[in-house]
Amino acid sequence: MAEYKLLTQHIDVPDFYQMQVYESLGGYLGLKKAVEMERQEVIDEIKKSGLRGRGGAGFPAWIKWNGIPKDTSKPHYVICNSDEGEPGTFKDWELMHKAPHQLVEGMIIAGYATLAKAGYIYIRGEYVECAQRVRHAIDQAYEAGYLGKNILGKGFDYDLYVHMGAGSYECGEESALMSSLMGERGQPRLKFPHAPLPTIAGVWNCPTLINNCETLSVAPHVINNGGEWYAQIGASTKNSRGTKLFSVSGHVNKPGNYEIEFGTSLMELIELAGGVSGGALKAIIPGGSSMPILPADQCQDAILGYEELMEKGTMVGSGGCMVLNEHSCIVTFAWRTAEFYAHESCGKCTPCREGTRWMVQILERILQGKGRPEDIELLLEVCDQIDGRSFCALGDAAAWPVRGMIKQFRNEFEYFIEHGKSIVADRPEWQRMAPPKHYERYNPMRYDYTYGIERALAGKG
Amino acid sequence: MPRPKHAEPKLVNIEINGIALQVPEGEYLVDAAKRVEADVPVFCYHKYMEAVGMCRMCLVDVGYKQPDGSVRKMPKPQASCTLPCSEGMVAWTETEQIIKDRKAVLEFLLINHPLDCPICDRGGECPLQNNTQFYGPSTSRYIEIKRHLPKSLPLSDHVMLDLERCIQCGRCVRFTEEVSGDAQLAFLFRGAQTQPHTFQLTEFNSRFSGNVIEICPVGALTSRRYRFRARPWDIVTQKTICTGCSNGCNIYLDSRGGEMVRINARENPQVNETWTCDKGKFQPNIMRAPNRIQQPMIRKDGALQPVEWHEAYALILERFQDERDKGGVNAVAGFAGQRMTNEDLYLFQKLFRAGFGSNNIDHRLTRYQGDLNKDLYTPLGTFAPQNEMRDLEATSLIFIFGSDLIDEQPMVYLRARKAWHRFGVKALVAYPVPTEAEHFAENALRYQPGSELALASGLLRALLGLLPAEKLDGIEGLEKIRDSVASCDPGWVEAQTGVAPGVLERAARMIADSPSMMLLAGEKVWNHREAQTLIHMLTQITRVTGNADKEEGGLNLMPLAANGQGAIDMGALPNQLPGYRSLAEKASLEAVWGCTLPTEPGLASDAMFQACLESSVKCLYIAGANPVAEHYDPTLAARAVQSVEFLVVQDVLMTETAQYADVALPACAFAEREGTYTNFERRAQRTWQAVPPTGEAKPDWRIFSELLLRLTQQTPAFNPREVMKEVGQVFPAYAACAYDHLKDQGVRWQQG
Ligand SMILES: Cc1cc2nc3c(=O)[nH]c(=O)nc-3n(C[C@H](O)[C@H](O)[C@H](O)COP(=O)(O)O)c2cc1C
Ligand code: SF4
Ligand code: SF4
Ligand code: FES
Repeated sequence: MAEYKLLTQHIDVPDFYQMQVYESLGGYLGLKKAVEMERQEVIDEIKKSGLRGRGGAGFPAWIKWNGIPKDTSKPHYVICNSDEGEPGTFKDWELMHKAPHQLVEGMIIAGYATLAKAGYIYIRGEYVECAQRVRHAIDQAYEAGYLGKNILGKGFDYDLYVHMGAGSYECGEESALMSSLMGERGQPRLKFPHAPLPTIAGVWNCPTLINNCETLSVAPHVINNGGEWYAQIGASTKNSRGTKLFSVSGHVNKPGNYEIEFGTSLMELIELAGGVSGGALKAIIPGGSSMPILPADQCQDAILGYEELMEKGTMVGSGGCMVLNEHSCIVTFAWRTAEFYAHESCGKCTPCREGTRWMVQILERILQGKGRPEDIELLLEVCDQIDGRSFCALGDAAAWPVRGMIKQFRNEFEYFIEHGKSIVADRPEWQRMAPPKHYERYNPMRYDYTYGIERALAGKG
Repeated sequence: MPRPKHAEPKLVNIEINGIALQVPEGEYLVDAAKRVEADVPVFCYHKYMEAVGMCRMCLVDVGYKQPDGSVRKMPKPQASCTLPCSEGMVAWTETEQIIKDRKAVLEFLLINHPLDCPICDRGGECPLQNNTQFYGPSTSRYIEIKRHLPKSLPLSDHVMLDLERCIQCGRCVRFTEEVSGDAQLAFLFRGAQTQPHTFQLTEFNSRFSGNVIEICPVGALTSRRYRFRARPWDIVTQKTICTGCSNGCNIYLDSRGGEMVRINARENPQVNETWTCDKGKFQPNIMRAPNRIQQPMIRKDGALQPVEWHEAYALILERFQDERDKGGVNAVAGFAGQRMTNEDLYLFQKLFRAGFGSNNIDHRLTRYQGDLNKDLYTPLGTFAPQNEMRDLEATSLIFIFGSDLIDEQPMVYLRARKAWHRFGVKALVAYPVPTEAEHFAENALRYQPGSELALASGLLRALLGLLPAEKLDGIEGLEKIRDSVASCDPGWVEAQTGVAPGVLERAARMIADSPSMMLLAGEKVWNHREAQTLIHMLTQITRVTGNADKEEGGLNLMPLAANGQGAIDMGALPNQLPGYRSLAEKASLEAVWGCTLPTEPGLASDAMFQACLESSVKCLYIAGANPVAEHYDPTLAARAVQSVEFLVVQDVLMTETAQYADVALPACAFAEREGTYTNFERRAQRTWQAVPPTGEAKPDWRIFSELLLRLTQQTPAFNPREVMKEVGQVFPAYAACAYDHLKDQGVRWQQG
């Protein structure tokens, strides 16, 4: 078991992003096959494939597809989540940049299966080139009659739009994404059982299917080759089927996206990426910064699969595999991670808004050499107070990595607190820079608050 | 879908802390918990706003009963303020973990909260303080640097913002988005820097800005009026109602050492829910106005000189009786103010009818001065206004005609907006200029000022064409109605009003297609040149659309001042006795009062003022009104009060009218006395005395009572409670509004 190129098979073919090239390599066959099938058959095919969401949670895709009402008393929508904010993850970038037609085809199949009226591809704001490529692919699909009115003569009308994100990690969370898409503040909304499922009342209160870019890109292959064929890939795992793109970064010789079959071992993936660079392996975060860290000794027998990694206490997540060599300081890494989540917290709920800031402050103090022995327990408790108590999963995502790092590398924290310096003597230059005086450097308070008000009140004597 | 008025909620079986109970399906768990006295602390949840679940204070453990009888517990604690109850739900509010979670949320909220409770207005009545006391950690583990932000940032003349105290609960922001609808507050920035602010840092000039001060669970939003003036434990709180307009918001009036310091909303789900408007909340302290009339005064040598009450009474009675004896009952006249209570108004008209034998009494400042019985009530077969506040949520169309609703009836505006926002009720506005209500109206008719009648006629004609025949069947005098508007075709309407035929057509279609409609008619109707015909036309629109006898539809001529409705009910009218009786039906009144009453109708206010100019009215008694400033024709009023021979003015302030008085009598302001007001939906509500009277001021009813005592041989009622009892005798519908029945929330009298 090793690299298995399915989504990325032709990705290096020049001009693969063009319709002609894509079609010449078997593109849009899935769609053509899909529209000949009953809508339920398409969903059944997805069910047979065992495809699970690639956005982070690994939720079975067919359940969402099947949850969309079978009538159209309200318009239905499909959303592609290409916000890709998870640190360490850059697979959607490659899929959109190099194989935009694959995504567009997947979106059309999803739209066909769920009786949708339109689809939105919500692309991370920074991914300008991707948006251009996807936009271009959409234009070509319209020209080819794959989009618009009466698609392939089947009386199916469907439009696709590109929507650029507004620069927030939180907008990748599905309900916040919908708020953002509707022009509201990018904050999450109530979820089941507090509110109906998005498949019943999602964007604009209409039935909405939301899937990750990679999940949707799989759809054409499932339809084209059959669900059963897809389900054979990765069959050695408990319940993970097909292939998965992992974005390997950090201390490896050939960082990049690698598509593997589920059931491949973690170390094989690292070997694919050219092996650990600059020293011995210290730890790996296999699924993006939100997931708990795995120390080197536990990496050896780790198998890439949803349940398999869960047993190890971490998760597949979005596939942002970050590799750390022995010269990395975990305390600094914890601080940097915490800082990311504090910066990205949307501020809606108390535990995440206040807890993430507090965690950064404690870690910063430790880095400045002013840590106290009780800070470790305090950090763990703050993590407990956020985890499972926040409004959305960003809170959990902020707590898990820090808690994981303390659990696995407690000695490094203790050393730093006791000695006021890192256990890793020869850590890289950037890690040795003193952290800022205090966290409020992000403070947007330079804003001139009183100006507008004073001006407004001045006119009134 | 409009919310049906009499829907039976479906009940579901749930269990809270081991106690089984039944609650309406969909009720939020946090409310259901109150039924078993399980106390769940909240910050962001507010009963009258949509729940968001952001503060995480109300977390509880929840499970669901499985078919096999076992309970499946959800892995994470759930926010109870957003969780609708459903069959088989099981909740635990006091587990060890939940108690820990509450501590955790409070700890998080407090790490950045300044320790300035001792100088904070909220201290002592602060939800954050209270919840910390009950559920919070006793010490802080936070040693880092707190967040520092501006601490006294004026948002407007009324509201001050302290950003450090804010706990980002979002109540204020949600209020302006959901309730007042002006969306003036928004969160700026994100994460730990999230802070509420006016959009673009402009002035916070919402008409309902004061509410955010009350709903803020900390001292982040404070009233610039009240700031640093009192502490919650040294103020006296008195429940009462606001007398700013005919909506009758329930309020608490707080005073310190006899001085009013602030007004807060008091919950009344039927009336103001829990809101007030800024006009009411920040009303000037009339009790301490510099121009108050402090004692009775008589004009001597051209100037008003203080006298004793009995001297003033003697002079008034002498002059009134004298002129009446000389010039007949029409030589005296009384003008009643709509700020007076039902008791005042009742006794005032009794003073004129039983005391002076004159029907010369009126209260109207508007151009419309016709016979309401004839113009409105008889054709409709009911007494207007037909509807109550919550009908707004049950009706399918709200037609706002000639009213700048937000200004004239602020609470009706809020409720109409809510009906649209929450229940999808449609709205239609007709007003000469754009108004706030247009923001949620589906259709707006902007007409040339003064052309209301042409518009209404045109609408009626269009409706007759659109309504299905079976709906029109059985409408009395249909042919006559048809004839009366036959010439009002869309072309003519456009020429008269400037409303294009297509727009008119769309509006008419909206009305025709709505199963029910509430017509809210305002100031532009009362003051129309042909108000009588216009009211007639609106009556016909109501009838032909079948709304005359619908519960959730009808015609509502909205009174323009606090007790305008009470003045009509109490018969402060020249041609109508208390209880909508015509003058011919005076027998029952005579039986109660034990005297004979005049049959000749009196003068309506314009005629009354005209008679003053012509000297046929010699004595004029103006109580609680300021026609010189408020009459639709102020010059007429000014000339009348200047030329009348003997003018008595009884009021709180030395008004423009009182300047001309020959006798000025000091009356108590609304908070210095008790009484009842009847709001626009016929709800009689009590006010209570909150502060002591100023100077020698007396409540109006007492003054009338004392005059009556001197004039007739009977002992009149000597407290408002008794007056109300008497009102119940002469107007049986008000028997239900006796003080014993009114309680805190008032009673809406029913048409018998
Ligand atoms: C804070 C947060 C950020 C997220 N960001 C992303 C993202 O950038 N891209 C993504 O596909 N899913 C993201 N998700 C997951 C989505 O909420 C959602 O589960 C996913 O889009 C569903 O698609 P899938 O079923 O195909 O995985 C995020 C979730 C959270 C809680
Ligand atoms: S956990 Fe709360 S503050 Fe954090 S992103 Fe989600 S809703 Fe916003
Ligand atoms: S100002 Fe008050 S009401 Fe507004 S968000 Fe802050 S704490 Fe809540
Ligand atoms: S009260 Fe429920 S989350 Fe705020």
